[in-house]
Amino acid sequence: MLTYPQFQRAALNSLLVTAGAVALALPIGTLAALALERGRLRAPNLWAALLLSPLVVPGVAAGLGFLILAAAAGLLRSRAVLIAAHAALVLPFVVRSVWVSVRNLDPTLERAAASLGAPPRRVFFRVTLPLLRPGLFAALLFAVVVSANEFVVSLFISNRVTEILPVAMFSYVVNYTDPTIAALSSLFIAATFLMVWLADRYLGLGRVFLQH
Amino acid sequence: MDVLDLAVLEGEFLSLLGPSGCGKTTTLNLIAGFVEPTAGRILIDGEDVTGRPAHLRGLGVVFQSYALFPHLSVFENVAFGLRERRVSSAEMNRKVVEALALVRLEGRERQRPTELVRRHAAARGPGPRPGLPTPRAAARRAAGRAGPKAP
Repeated sequence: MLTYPQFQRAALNSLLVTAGAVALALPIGTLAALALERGRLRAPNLWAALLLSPLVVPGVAAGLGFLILAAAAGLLRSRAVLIAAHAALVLPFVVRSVWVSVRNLDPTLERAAASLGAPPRRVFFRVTLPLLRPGLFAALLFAVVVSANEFVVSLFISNRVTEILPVAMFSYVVNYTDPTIAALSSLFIAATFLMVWLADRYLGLGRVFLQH
Repeated sequence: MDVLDLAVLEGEFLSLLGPSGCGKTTTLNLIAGFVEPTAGRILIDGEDVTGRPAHLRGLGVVFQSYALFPHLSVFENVAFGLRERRVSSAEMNRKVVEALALVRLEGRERQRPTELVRRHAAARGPGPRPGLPTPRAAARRAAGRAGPKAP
């Protein structure tokens, strides 16, 4: 089963798409969370709703939207669309997780750093970012799990070459009936569980949720 | 805050007193540069620092809530400002040791500030009822977990 070329390709696609989407969504989501909590936005609620909206838009609608957009941009054959779509879909999870950490951040710590002579950039990298770590780790985990398991939207915008693992599994089930797919499903579940367990073990996920 | 005319002389030890909400902290925040005044000027040594960001004012501030960096060791907390001033590492070491000796925190350099607080709390926490951990046992347990925790 692991030797099936279409699954190997799909697994690689999954990896690339998830990595790309997370690399996009993590910095954007972090800055968005900081802006929502600290920035002087004119309509903060509107921004928050906009950033969290991918959660409530039905996958089919979002998928169709991305499909039309990608077709118009002539990007249907590339993974870029998948990466962009996944980034948008995981963004709400990133924003929410980091937002909690930003809320818990004591602004006097940043003032203290400034009074000790640290310019804003250094305050951000030496104080703000390290203190957001729990939220960033939670965001990373959510983003990876959501992106790796995303199916509906991906189905619309992938083709035989760019399709990610869940989509490849779906098309396999449509075309063939054999137990391969059950085995692969089990593997998929196991991989997701392993990821969550590792994150909990090494990143202290429990603490993230219990403390906040 | 409306009208404030405050002059502090060199070497003067000055206390601001007043009911809560009257602007004591706001005054200090204005001087330190954490908030900008809507009107008026702030002078240090005759120099106008209104509008100058906090990190360029060179003032020492001790915060009401301490504002120690929880992710840094005791040593790194004290060294924070010295690092920003690009002090040589030998001089930084000397100055940190000196400062910590002044407040009798020698030997605690590598602990986190929260660790000291946790042990302090453990020493005070449990009452004298039988069956509950004694302060000493709780403190020992806290000390056993002295290493910095994962984030």
